[in-house]
Amino acid sequence: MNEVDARLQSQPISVVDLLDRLLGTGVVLAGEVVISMAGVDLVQVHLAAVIRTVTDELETMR
Amino acid sequence: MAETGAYIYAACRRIEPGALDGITGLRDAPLRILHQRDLAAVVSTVDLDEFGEEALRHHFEDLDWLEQVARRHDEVIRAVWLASGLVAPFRLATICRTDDNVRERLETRYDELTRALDRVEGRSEWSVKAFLPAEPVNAAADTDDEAASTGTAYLLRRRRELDQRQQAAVDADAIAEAIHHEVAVAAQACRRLPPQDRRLTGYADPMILNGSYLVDDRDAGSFRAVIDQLVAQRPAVQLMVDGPWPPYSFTTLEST
Repeated sequence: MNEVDARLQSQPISVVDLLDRLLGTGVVLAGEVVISMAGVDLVQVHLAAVIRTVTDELETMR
Repeated sequence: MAETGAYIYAACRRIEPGALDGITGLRDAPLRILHQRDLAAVVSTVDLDEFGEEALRHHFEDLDWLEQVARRHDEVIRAVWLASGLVAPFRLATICRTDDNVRERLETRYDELTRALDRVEGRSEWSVKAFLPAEPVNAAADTDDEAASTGTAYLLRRRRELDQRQQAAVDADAIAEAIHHEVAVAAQACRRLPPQDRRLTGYADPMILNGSYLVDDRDAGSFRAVIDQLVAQRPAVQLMVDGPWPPYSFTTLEST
């Protein structure tokens, strides 16, 4: 199997996995000409996600 | 007119003009490729009313906004990955004032970006997560009914329960560490991310390992074989493998 074939079979990524990476890793540029969310607190995002998941569950139960 | 900025999705090398036709950026803005020496950055114009510092702080609280932006950011990264075979994904919401500022940044970080791209060339990211059912705490073991009613017996039982819980946590750490080690041997680089909350994973069992592994595309088969072997060796642990993905976790620049 060549490289491109392997990648075309790549799976979509869940939003939790994606945010783990796009907020926690990846190339960071800093400097006065750059706006960035580099300092983002992942715990906060997870907390927001948990709150939403739980709220959704409660709504489904109604 | 509202102020605008250049939102950077990814850096790469050698990308054919037209390779990204049909893909649009955030808010459906057209993508542009900015070159600096043999590096290129894929950007689109964003409105600073939405993507300025102040606005970002506010939007960051909004999970729907975050998810929407992350999804589009990812679509562009994957399109670059497929088109050019090589990509350095950028952190979500990295915005320069002007295109010239983007090129300046590519120039000042040229060596580091080049090394990051070299590191991930021909390689993809795989995720391996491990879930371990919590052991039921065996409170009633070897306690006879009469003794259990006394205060001392109660305290002893409580202590035993705590010891068991502590021991279970230590065991789970050791299992996670062992799995991570065995998977890492089959990879070129690895990174442990914090385990995700049970309410987000949808699994009843706690996640004990959230690992990212950079794997040579030619070794994808043997990497999977290592996982299959682990699955067979550890029936108590549930392993979840995802990939191949763009190398999100492996292009962090050295000085950041």
